Amino acid sequence: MKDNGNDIINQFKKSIWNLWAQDGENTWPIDLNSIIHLFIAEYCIEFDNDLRELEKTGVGDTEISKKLKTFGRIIRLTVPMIIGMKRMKLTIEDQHERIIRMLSLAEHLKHDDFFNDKGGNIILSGTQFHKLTENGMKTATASDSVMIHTLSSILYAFAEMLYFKTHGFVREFHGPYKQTGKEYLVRDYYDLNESVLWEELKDFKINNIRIVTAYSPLNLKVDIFSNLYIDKNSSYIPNLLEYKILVNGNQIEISDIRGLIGEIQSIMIRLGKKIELMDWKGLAKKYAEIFWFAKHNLLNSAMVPEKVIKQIQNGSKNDALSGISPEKLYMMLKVSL
Amino acid sequence: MENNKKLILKGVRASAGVVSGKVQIIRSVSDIEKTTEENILVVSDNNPIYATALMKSRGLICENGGLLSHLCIIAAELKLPCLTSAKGAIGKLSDNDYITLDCNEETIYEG
Repeated sequence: MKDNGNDIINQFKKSIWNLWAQDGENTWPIDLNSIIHLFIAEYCIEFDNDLRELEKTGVGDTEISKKLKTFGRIIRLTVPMIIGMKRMKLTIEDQHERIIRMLSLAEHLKHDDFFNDKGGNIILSGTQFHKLTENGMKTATASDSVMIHTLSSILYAFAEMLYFKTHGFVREFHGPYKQTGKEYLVRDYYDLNESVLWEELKDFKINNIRIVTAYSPLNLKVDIFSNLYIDKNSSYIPNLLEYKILVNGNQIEISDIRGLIGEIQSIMIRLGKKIELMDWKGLAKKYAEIFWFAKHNLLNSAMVPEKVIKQIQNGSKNDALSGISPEKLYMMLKVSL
Repeated sequence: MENNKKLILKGVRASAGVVSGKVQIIRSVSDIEKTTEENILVVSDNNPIYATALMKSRGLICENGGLLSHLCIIAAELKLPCLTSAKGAIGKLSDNDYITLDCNEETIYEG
């Protein structure tokens, strides 16, 4: 990856642009662009220092990657870091070096086709995929399919409620893994019960959920940010053939799903009311906590520095960056990177 | 779609399908408890909590956002008709208006 740096940077920029062009105005619960300046430079500096500390103690890149958990998390972290590096006034060369470093770390967590040029997000090797699907895949009835996609939908919303716009830190969709005329998709969710972020999660026992689904061909595509695309006239529910659901690594039955959905909905309603009452400073602090949490395995600390907390308390929103169009963001990306 | 129905608004299809029902404008978390199976939801922001109402509803109209807006993704996953970028929907629609949401034609009609 380091040998063809410019190509990599250009491909990465293209991926970000594709995302922004379709993302729309996603400003719930607060526009991240308007508050990220209050913590992102300090975050980048600390992230760099963490990596250096680990390297000094002989921790290799593969181990560092695993501490960041998923390919998707590293990719999602890289995008806001571009803004952080700009605030740090790094040279273009230094910015490129750091981005390539991040992407090189991500490479350790992905099996094939780094930028999904062939349309798939292929995280698992053939052996890993075979091990995952060789046992326990169940034939889906029509009602099973509705239930599974309802679970999948509620999890998507739940992850966003917990991690706001950066829910890509804890969500990774991968596939399609194609086998015997079927398209397999894996929807992974992690860190769903981190009460260090939300005390409402302290009684929720589920940390991770994996939904494995096999569809009749949908022409499914997945981008590097785990966004799914299928043909305009296709849909998931009628095309589901088989499924397997793992909760904290253990397979559950379809009859368990309704209760699980109810439990998640009830947490969401409590959290939704709480978030609705938070002011912008509270939301900015929560975003900082989410960012620090995303890297907490590096040096085992999720503590937001006191300096950052004070900056948020005494700082202002940057509304110039609020509601900025994808075109303008792309121009900034072109100029600054 | 019948031509004699009055066009209210156009948008961008995020998930195909045609459905008729009563408008429910969702403005806050407390609104989601009132959603019924008759409702077509209208939202201006992407609060993920609205997904819990979406599951009970017939369809979704988003004033803002693109095809990767999260509620649109969820609607597609649930096979619910969804129209996005329907600018001005909240101004033009009121609670309990009976409408037809035709996402195949990317339009909203009266009745």
